Amino acid sequence: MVNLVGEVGRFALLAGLVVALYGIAATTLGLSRRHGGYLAGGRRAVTVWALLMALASAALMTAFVSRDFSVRFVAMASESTQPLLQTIMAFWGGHDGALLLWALVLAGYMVVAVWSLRSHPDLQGPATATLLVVAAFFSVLLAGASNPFVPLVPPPPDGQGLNPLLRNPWMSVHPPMLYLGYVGMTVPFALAVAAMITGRLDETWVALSRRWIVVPWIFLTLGLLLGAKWSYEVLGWGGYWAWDPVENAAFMPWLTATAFLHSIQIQERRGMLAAWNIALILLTFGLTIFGTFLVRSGVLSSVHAFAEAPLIGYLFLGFLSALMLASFGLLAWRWGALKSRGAVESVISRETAFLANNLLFVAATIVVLLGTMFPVLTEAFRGVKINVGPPYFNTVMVPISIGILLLMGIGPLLPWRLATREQLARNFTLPSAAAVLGALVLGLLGVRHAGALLVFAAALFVSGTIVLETVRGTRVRIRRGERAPLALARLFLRNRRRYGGYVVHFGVLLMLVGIAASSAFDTQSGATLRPGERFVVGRYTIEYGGLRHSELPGIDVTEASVRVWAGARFLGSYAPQRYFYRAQEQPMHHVAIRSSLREDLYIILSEWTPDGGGTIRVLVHPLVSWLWAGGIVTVLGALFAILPERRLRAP
Amino acid sequence: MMPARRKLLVGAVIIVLGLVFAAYHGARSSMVYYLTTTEFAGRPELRAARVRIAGRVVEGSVVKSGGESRFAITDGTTGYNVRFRGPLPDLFAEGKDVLVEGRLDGDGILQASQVISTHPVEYKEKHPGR
Amino acid sequence: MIEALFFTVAVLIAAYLLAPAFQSLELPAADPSDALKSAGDAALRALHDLDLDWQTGKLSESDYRAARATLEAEASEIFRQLAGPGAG
Repeated sequence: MVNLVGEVGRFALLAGLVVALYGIAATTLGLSRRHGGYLAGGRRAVTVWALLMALASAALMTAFVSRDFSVRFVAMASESTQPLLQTIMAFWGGHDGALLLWALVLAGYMVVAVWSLRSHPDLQGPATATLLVVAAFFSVLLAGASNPFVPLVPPPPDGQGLNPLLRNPWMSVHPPMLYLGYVGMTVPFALAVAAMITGRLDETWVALSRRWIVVPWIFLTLGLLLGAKWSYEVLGWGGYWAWDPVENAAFMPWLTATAFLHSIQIQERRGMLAAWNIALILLTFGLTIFGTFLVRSGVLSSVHAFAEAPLIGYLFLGFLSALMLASFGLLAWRWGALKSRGAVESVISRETAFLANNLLFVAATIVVLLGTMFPVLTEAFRGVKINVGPPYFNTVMVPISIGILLLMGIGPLLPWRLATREQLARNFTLPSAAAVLGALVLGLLGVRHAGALLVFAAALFVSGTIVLETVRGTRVRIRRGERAPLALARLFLRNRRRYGGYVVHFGVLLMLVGIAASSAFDTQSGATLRPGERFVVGRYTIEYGGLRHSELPGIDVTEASVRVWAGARFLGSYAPQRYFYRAQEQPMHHVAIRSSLREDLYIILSEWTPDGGGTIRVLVHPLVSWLWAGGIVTVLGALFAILPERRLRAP
Repeated sequence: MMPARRKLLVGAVIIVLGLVFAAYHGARSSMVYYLTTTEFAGRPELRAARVRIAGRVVEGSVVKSGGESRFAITDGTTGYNVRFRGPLPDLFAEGKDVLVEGRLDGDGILQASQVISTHPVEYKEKHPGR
Repeated sequence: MIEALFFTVAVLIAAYLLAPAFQSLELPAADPSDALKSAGDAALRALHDLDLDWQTGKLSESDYRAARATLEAEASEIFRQLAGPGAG
C-alpha cells in the first residue's frame, strides 16, 4: 500500500500528458482534414484527461489522509499531529498540490465547456484544441518538474507539517474559490480563440463569452473576499489588503474581467469595440497565467532567487508568451472583420459612461501591474530593488474608485446614443441632491475626512439612482394593473440582467463605503497591564483579566481574558490568543473580534511577561462589516443576474 | 474625427494624465530601496535614503525598554544596529529574518519606522500560488 | 504486478481514444442559422431593454419611437431570414 498511491499518481499524471498531447493532435488534424472521427477522439481526450486528473487527485488525497510520508509532497505539507481537515487542506498547501488542484478545476471546466458547445460544433473544435493546449502545459509541469508524487526514499518518520499560517478553516475554501475563478478564465479565452479561427465573431460569441466569464468572475470575487477576510482575522495586523504581489496577482484579472463585463454591452447594443473586447479576454487569461508565474517563480523576492531555480519560471513565461503571441496574432489577422458598426454620437451617453468605466479599470490594472513589477524592473535596470508601498497604490486607487462609483450611478441613467438636457435634469436632480445633502449632514456630524466624505456622497448618489430606477420601473407596472409587491418582484424577475446588475452595484458601493470608513477612521491603542487593570480606547473600556496557558497537539497556547464595556454597558468577554507551533517555531495570532454593523473591535494579545502581565492592543475599525456584507450582496446580485430568463417572444 | 470622439479622447488623456501624476506622487512618497545589510553598506550614496534592509536578528541582541526595542541584524557578513519604537511584529524572534524599514541616523544606527517579519521563502512556495 | 495493471489501463485508454478515428464520422455540421438565431435573441433583448428605458424616463417619446422603429425593422429582417431562407 505504501508505494501504490505514488505509483498510481505518477501513472495518472504521465498518462494525462500523453492524452492531452494526443487530444491536440487529433483535434488539429480533425479540423484541417475535416474528419469527424478525429474530432471525436479529441473530445474523448478531454474526458479521459479529466478522469486522469481526478484519479491523480484522489491518489494525492489518499496519500494525505493515510499520512503516507513516502510521498515527498505529503511530507512537506503535513505532519502526524495535524487534524484531518488540515491534512485535507494541505493538498493545496504547497506548490505541487496547488498545481494539481489547478489541473483538476481546469478539467471540470473543460468537460462542461466542451459538452455545452455541442450546439455550436464549429466553435467546439478549435475551443477544444485550445483548452487541451493549456491542459498539456499543466500536464508537462505536473508530470515533470512539479510532480507531487516524487517519492522520498527512505520515507521519513514524520512530515514537516503545513505552514501554521495556513492551518485555518479559511484554507479550505479560499484557494479552491480563487482557482475556480482563475482557472475559469481559460474558457472565455478558448472561446475567443475559436471565434477568431472560425471567423464566428458574431452575436453567438458575445452571448457565449458573457455567460462563460460571469461564473469565474463570481468565484474570483468570492476568492478575493475570502482572502481579505482571512487576512483580517488571522494575520493580526488589522488590515484586509496589503497590495501584496500575491493579492495583486488575483486582483488584476478581476479588474479586466469586470471591464469586459461592461464593454461587452457596448458591443451588444451598438456593435462597437469588438476587437477591444477580445483583447480584454486575452489579457484577462494572460494575467491569470502571469500572476501564477509571478508568485511561483520567486522573481519577486529577488531576481537571484529566480535565477537559482528558473525552470518553472521559464516554462510559465514561455507558455504565456507563446499563447499571447498566437492569440494576439489571430486578433491582428481578424482585425478587418472586427470593425465597429457604430460610433459614439454624443459625449453624454451610456456609451461614454461604459468607455470611461473601461478606461478606469484598465488604468487600475496597469497601475497595479507596474507597482507589483516595480522591484523586478528596477533590479533589472538599475541593479537595486526598489519597492513601492501601499501609498502608491492607494493614491491612485482612491480617485479611480470614486470615479467608478460615480459611473455606477451615471451610466445606468443615461440612454444609448444621446441624452438631452431635460433627461439629465429629470434623472440626476434627485440623486445629486441626496448626495449633496447627505455630505452636508455628515460633515456637520463631524465627518471631516475629505476622501471618505467624497466616497460617502458618491455612494448616496448611486443609491439614489438605484432607488429611482426601481421606483420608476415598479410604478410603470403598477399603472398597468399589478399590485405593488408583485410589480416589484416581476420588475426584477423580468429584467434580471439590469436589476441584478443594480444589486451588484449596490454591493460594490457598500464595500467601498466600508473600505473608506475603515481606512480613514480607524483608531488604535494599547497598554501593558496587570490583571484587573483597565484602559480606554475611544468609547470602549477594556479590562485585562490575566493569562491562561494551555496546549494543543504540537502547539503552545496562551490566552488572555479581556472584558469590554461601552460606557457603562457590558459588552462581553473576549479571549485573544497566541499560538506557538513548536515544530516550525512559528507564532501566530488568534485575534478576538467583536463585530457590529457600526464597527469592529479588534483585540490582540501582543506580548506577556512571566508574572502574568500582558500587553493588549486594540484597534477599532468602523464599518468593516459593510465590506463583507457588500461582498455577499455583490455575489448574490451576480448570481441573480445570470439566472436564465424566460425567452422573449418574437414580434 | 467627429467632435464626440475628439472630446472623448481629450477627456481620456486628461484622466490618464491625472492618474499618472497621482501614481508618480504616490510612488515618490512610498519608494523604498530594498537591500541586504551588505548591499546597503556597499552603497554609500544611499546612506540617507529610506531603505528596507533584510537581515537576520542577531541572537542575544534584543533589548526592550519602555516601548522601545533595540536589536542588531546581520546577513552573516555585515550588521546594523536598529532602534524601533512600537510593537514588534508577531513573527519577530531572535535568529529569524526581518525587514527593517527606516533611515540611518548620524550615529550609524538604523532608526526603524517599520519592522516587518518576512514570510519565509517556504511560505511563498507553500502559499497556493494565486 | 502493478505495471501490468497500468499497461492494461493504458491500452484501454488508447483504444477508447483511437476508436472514433477509424469510423469515418461526419464532421458535425454547424447550424447555418446559428448566428442568425443569436442575432434574433439579441434584437429581442434590445427591444425589451429599450421599452424599459423609455418607461423609466431615459428617452423622449420621439427618440423612443425612432429607436424602436429601427430595432423592429432589424428584428423583422432577422426573423424573416430565419423563417424562410432564400425567400428574397
